[in-house]
Amino acid sequence: MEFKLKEKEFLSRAKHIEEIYREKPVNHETWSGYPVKEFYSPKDIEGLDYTQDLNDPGTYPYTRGIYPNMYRGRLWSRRELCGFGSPKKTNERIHYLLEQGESAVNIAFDIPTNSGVDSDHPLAKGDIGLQGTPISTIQDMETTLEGIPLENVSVNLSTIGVTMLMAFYLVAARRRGFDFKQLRGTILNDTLGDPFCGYKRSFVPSDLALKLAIDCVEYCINHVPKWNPLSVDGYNIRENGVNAPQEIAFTFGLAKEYLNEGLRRGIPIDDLAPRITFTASAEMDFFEEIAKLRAARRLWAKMIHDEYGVRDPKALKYKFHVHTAGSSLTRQQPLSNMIRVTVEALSAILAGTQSLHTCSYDENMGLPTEESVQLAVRTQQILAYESRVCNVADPLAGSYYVEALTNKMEEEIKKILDKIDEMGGMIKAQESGWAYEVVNNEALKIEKQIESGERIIVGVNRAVSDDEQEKQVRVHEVSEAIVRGHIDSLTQFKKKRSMDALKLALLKLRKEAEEKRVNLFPSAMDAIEKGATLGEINGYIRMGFGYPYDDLGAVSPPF
Amino acid sequence: MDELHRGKKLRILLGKVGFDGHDRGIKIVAAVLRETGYEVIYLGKYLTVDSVIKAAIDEDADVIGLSFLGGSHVIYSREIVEQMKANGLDDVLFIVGGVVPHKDTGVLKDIGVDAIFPPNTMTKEITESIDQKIKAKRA
Repeated sequence: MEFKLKEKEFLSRAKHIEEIYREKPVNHETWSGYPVKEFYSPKDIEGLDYTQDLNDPGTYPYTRGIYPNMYRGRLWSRRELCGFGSPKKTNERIHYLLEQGESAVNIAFDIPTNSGVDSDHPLAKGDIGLQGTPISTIQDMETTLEGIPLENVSVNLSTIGVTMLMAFYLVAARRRGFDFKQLRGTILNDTLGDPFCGYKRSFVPSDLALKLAIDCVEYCINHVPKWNPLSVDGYNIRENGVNAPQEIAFTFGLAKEYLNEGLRRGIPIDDLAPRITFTASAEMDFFEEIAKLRAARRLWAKMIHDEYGVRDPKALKYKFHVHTAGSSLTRQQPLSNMIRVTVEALSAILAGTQSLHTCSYDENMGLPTEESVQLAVRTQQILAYESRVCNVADPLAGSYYVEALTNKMEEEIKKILDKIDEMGGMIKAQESGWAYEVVNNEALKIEKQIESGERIIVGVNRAVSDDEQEKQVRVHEVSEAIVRGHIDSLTQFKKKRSMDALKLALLKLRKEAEEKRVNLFPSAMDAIEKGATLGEINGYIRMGFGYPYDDLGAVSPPF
Repeated sequence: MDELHRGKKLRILLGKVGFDGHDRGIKIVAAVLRETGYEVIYLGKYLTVDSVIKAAIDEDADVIGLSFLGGSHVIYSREIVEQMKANGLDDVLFIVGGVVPHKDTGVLKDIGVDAIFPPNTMTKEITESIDQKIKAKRA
């Protein structure tokens, strides 16, 4: 490089370099917009009482963690979300991930499946096998789970609105000889939260949502005791645009609706409360995310204790899975995303998560490739095995900043919860549109901050470079042939069923849905045994509730 | 915003085709375009190619903008462009936003998509591009 620059150029460059040398933070706020001080001291946590407000890990109010020995007892589950193309491709990828050392399974379903329709739905042609695996039949579920020891590993079914995927899972497990009492895993089953993930409310209207959600909880309490039948999904709400306290407050609002419905149906609170778990995001403000989750633990424990009168310690624990924030990642300079994921994963671990999915660097281009998801697994493994952070529970406790910020998060979460209560609960907050306005407003605010430079994103509005790195990333592709093969197998499957037996089973399911007196799982599982598809199970239950078989009006019931 | 087409504000139809419901991006684009001064018709989600074309005709749209996340951008863009040609919508701009990997940009351009806006695109780029391309198309 030529240093004998003309005086003007040299001075201008020198000025620029000095500006960077003297750079300061653009603002002094958390990600969610709360001003923070230059430093924190005992004054900022005056009145903080160890026993009342923190206590040891594994002791009420669980601020410091839900188990006494936290990761010394068991590391968090390394659980990568996985699914694409077909049940067989998804099964192959699951085994790849297990070989790479992930410690739990996490299955993503394609959007039509997550909307409750089959892979031959006429309007779903372009969306089959994208974003997750299609599951239309029991055969699909069996193929997806082939070779996986369901009694020895935890499996998450990442579906918000299609509770009956659990029925398919159970039938598949039973056919392989597994004991329901030994099955371990989670189904999100956060049916009320469907619209926060972009699904139409009318796919699972609120009354049907509550019925399905609690049927699943009830069935699992009685038959699948080690299963987590409901995980309120804060991750997707956060991805849609809310800030940290809003994320937690909205999940608590939803959780209360499920608790209230469960109680209305006569499920004892001590059985019910521990079955409500959570999924949270981990965004880029390292300390805010840790404070958010510590506050969530303390607030949940106090809320269940004070408002629901629960005393059983097991029923007071905020148990959660973290998914690092996909929307924090950039298309530009994608390798940078691994640094972001690392920051986020570390915050989730220091916050004491039970389970963690780390995103891959190609998040903004497509689903993870084998090489990109391997690095995501390695990220967790390096943190678990090399950083030594898991030897000590809640290591940040006592930090003046972290405790002050935890208090602040709790305060802000409570404000929003009070507002939701004033409106009559989360369902009302959704029906009035208020909840979605909050999401939209916050999303727009964040975008404007990025475009004005107030919110810096490296590679996007700072340290911008060309698109060479972007072009070099191998992007995952879903083969059209594989998707077609899957659709063909669905056609074949439908031809081989005994229509008489199927008809009886589906009509019985519909009648039970109409009468609303019994849990729908046994009849749904029976219909599945008789060859019912996911769309048929869903459709007949919908009809029982007075809704059209297919919300988009493109498919008629077979009988 | 540039000289208006035929003296009117540019009419921009926005929406999502198929089952994908991820709409954070398109809602932001709709809001910003409205603030900039365009006439935005947000059709929503779960649209079909036919319903988009019909709306473009009924609403006298100058621009059709669709958003994709899951990977269905090639399949639906192809159908949209075919239908636009079949219905004489030759002076209507067709723009696509969302998760479109670099390797597909050329594919979409070949199909006839006028502009592609992948993730982390600044909205200013979208408005500038629309103005530029409408001018060029109708020159």
